[in-house]
Amino acid sequence: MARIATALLICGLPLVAAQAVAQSEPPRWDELPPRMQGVLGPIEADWKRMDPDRRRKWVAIAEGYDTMTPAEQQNLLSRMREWAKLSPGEREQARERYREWLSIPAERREALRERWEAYQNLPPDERAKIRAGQSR
Amino acid sequence: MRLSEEDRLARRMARRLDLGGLSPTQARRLAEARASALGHVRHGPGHVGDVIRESWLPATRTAFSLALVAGLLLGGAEWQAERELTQTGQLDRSLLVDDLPIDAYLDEGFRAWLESQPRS
Repeated sequence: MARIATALLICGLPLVAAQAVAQSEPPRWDELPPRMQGVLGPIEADWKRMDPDRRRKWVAIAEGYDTMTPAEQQNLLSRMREWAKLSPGEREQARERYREWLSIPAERREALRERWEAYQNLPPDERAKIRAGQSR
Repeated sequence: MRLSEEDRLARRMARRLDLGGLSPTQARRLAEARASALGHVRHGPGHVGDVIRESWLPATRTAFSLALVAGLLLGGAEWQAERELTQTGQLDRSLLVDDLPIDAYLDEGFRAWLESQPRS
């Protein structure tokens, strides 16, 4: 048994080492390339508090920045701070709704933006009434 | 030094053999016994190679198999986590660059209002 344990230790060490390399920490803010710092600028203040997985996600998003259309780039830059401030539960709720609305036919989906604006133009008390009806 | 019973017997046998006078049959049987004893020593468990072969190799094999299984499990879990992270990252990216602002996805009232509207 002791022999198996010793041999297991010897055989397992490379695996543990490989695991440690795979789990290496994502870059600190000052380690990011200047171009990426520029893209992720709106969330610089939140960077330190972010867990490694969230940092990796932001790095992946920033890596695709140059392939986005100007409108997409603008949307991203104006929303990333708001997104980073949401609670994990709120982010999950938004993802769930987004997934759900992805299944809406394209022509109706395109009208969602106009619908949102129309909803925003409703009197505040009417919107509050609709929300209250939902939470009941 | 105190001799064991075996050692005393071995000495008596050696003295007797030194005197000679063995029959050919006795000499042959002794030669066979010697060859057999030497063969046992050569292939016995006393050699380092044999010790490794007989005790460490099975242990190493077992340990390697266990480490391999553990490695596959860890690797599988790691791959799955990485896959989920990539998928969520892609979803977040699409959501953030989409036409609709984030508030639209979080406002329960908007969803209810949409459902109450006639479909054009």
